[in-house]
Amino acid sequence: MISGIFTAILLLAFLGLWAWAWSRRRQHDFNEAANLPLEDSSAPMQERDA
Amino acid sequence: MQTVETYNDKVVRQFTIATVVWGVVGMLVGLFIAAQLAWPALNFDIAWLSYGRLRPLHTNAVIFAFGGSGLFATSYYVVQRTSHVRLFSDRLAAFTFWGWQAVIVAAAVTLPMGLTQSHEYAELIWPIDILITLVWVAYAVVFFGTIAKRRVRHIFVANWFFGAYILTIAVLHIFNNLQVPVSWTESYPVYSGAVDAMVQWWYGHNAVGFFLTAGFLGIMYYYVPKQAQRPIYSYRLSVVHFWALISIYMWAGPHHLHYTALPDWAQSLGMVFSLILLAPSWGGMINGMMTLSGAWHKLRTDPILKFMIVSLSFYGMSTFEGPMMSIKTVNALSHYTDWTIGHVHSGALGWVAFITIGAVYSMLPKLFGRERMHSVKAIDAHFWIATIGIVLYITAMWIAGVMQGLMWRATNPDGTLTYTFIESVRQTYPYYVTRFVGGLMFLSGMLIMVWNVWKTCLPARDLPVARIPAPAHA
Repeated sequence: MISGIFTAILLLAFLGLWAWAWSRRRQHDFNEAANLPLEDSSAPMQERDA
Repeated sequence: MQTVETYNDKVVRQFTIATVVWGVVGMLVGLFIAAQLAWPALNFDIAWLSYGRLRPLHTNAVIFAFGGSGLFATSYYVVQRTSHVRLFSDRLAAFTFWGWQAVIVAAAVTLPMGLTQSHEYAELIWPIDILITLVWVAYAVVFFGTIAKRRVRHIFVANWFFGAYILTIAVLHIFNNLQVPVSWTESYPVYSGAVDAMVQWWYGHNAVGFFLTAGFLGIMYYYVPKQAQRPIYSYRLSVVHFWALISIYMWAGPHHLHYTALPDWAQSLGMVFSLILLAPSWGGMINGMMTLSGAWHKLRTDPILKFMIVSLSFYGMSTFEGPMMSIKTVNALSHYTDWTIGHVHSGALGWVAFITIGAVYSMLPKLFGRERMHSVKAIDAHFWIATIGIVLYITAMWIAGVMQGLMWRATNPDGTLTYTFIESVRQTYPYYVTRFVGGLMFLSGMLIMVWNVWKTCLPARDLPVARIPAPAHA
């Protein structure tokens, strides 16, 4: 019984994670983060966080 | 006047050079013990040259000295550049470097002397374990301290992987090394019997999962996009990849104890979790590979990218092979044979060493103020000689392993064993020689790297200082 409930909670958490990661609200931040490795440390650049 | 903030690249340089040096040392020991298996007379009847003492020296040197130094170097490099701040504390960072080198030297002295706790990958005796704990706590303080004072709001995905690896290794190291000392060199574990075995492989498999996988995935998520000059294929997938991988890896350890005194349900549970692991592993592998989608031509001209993409191929291969080997019926054939050694080296040489070598080639010139490595052709030569070496190594061990498994289980109609153990050993000699040749090629590649690193670093008179990008609204 408890293990079943626990499994269901974990499954929902996993699905929630997908929904969160694919939500449109995350898109902007994720795009910015994805570009972090491409910065050239010798060139001047914009700060990500205002 | 405001002073310009800079990154702490001194400690990164130190760990990067240490990575190359310990790589050569650890692989040389590996080559020597591979030669001993093919030509047993090579132990010269000297106790501290015997296989049983040098094998843990090899594993500790390549995992913790080579791999460990590589992880320190890259995590310090990445966390600063994706957080736009200098490392939390220069002094603590320096302590992690010199402390870690002291651990390595202590291991290199004690293991050949035969001083061991007799737990695989946790052989080091308790005083060294305490030093490791101190260094690791300092590492955690430096890393998470840097994250805490970051100027970039979002914590970059590579830092999540590095953070998980640092945190988990701390927990694993402490709980698997709970020992009662009886002298400066001897101690007894607090666990006994099947519980000790279970804790040991909870540690052992998560050393693979977090030290040799999560940490190096951190490297992948920064250096592959950097080298390809394209953002990661799917940042969203990388988030799911992270949480799925770290939640599942923790439970796979019992597959090391199939058909032992461990309760049967625990063995089956370990097998099921190992099979599920295929999904996040391949999700991450595909995410890294597809970063090159639309830019595959770069592979033709950039041998550093070749190292990285082939490392991901080997990652995909060994994370497919691993779950298969965890299936109990497959394990009944593969366990205790050289197939396991082949599997480990397809992961260790193909994935871990290749992504590390790629990252070192990628950042080393920048750290020493050069445009690129001294010789790009030498990187290409390193790549090909190492790749052929790995293929020789793992195919030899596959054939040897399956052959051994089949010979050991073969029975005559009256129920007696068809082969004696020594017959299977004799049949394995040609494959041990092939494996030696493969290892020799891999080490030769590392020596080419040493030459290339030497030529790149030597002319560097003034070491560059990397400035931290100024905040836009400061």
